[in-house]
Amino acid sequence: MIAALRRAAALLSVSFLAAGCANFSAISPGDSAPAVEARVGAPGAVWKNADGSEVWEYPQGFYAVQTFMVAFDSDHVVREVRQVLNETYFSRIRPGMSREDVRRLIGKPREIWYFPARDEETWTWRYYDITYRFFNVLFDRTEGTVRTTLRLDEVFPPGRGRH
Amino acid sequence: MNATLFRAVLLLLCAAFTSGCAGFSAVNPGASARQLETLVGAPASVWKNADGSEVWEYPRGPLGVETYMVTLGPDGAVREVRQVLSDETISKLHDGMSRDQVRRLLGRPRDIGFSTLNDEEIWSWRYREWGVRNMELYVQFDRPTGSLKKISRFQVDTSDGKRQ
Repeated sequence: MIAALRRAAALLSVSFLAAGCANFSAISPGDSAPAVEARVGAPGAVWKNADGSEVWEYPQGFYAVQTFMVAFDSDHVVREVRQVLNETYFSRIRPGMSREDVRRLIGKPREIWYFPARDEETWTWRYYDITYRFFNVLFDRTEGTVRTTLRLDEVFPPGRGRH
Repeated sequence: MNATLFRAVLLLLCAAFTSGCAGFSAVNPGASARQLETLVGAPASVWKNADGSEVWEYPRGPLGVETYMVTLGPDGAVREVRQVLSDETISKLHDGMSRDQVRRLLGRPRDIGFSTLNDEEIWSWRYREWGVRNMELYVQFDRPTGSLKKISRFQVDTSDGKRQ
């Protein structure tokens, strides 16, 4: 009785762990959509392309430093899996791009701030590159287009740092 | 002729520079309010204290990275001049402070923003640390209660992603 309970608890904690670090590296090109769902769950957003292909977006949460994009071909099999919160993708963001262009490239931001005086919308992502950093995309709010991007390192007062 | 022109340009440049940093180093304790105004102009805000003293606020924004607070005694004479956008002042911020308390410590923010996810108001300043590092300070207030919720400081990476 108690052993069964303990086993259930162990299984439960294992499933929590698996949910925490959903195994994107186990997804291979050629995998089916149901196989992807079985491994990493339903996506946070789905981006459909004109040719019938799709990109499934998986942000990993407010404090996470990774967002995964699973790209499917028009025949509904995985073409590739990419972790998009890094320079490879940030460097593709150019002034003039739309909110959707940015969203499709690097996924949902953790925060959006709005500064009325500058008519500016600031989208923020947390990422890891040597240290924990923040990537900001600044939009002209009315135009809905990128003005510029900004990379920031958080600085902590002595003794209050997070590592 | 050329030398005169050169000297004129030089003078003009000097004037541009000094107006940019409005000679706060020339304001000495004991100076009168009138002398202060002559040197650095009218303040953006004046804070009156219970003891009759006043604090005159001079934000050098929106592009500036300095804000000066000049304290005048009840006699109207300058007591001290402080540049407040520094680690020393920022370290005095703490959770629960009101907008007014923050304003009196750091002066007018460069910008005020709002979070779209939660009911927050964000005040931001730019400053320079050790005179070399470009920093951004964000102070987040809970909007309904108006109390300070979070302080974050960032060093701006100007390399545009091309570090190392």
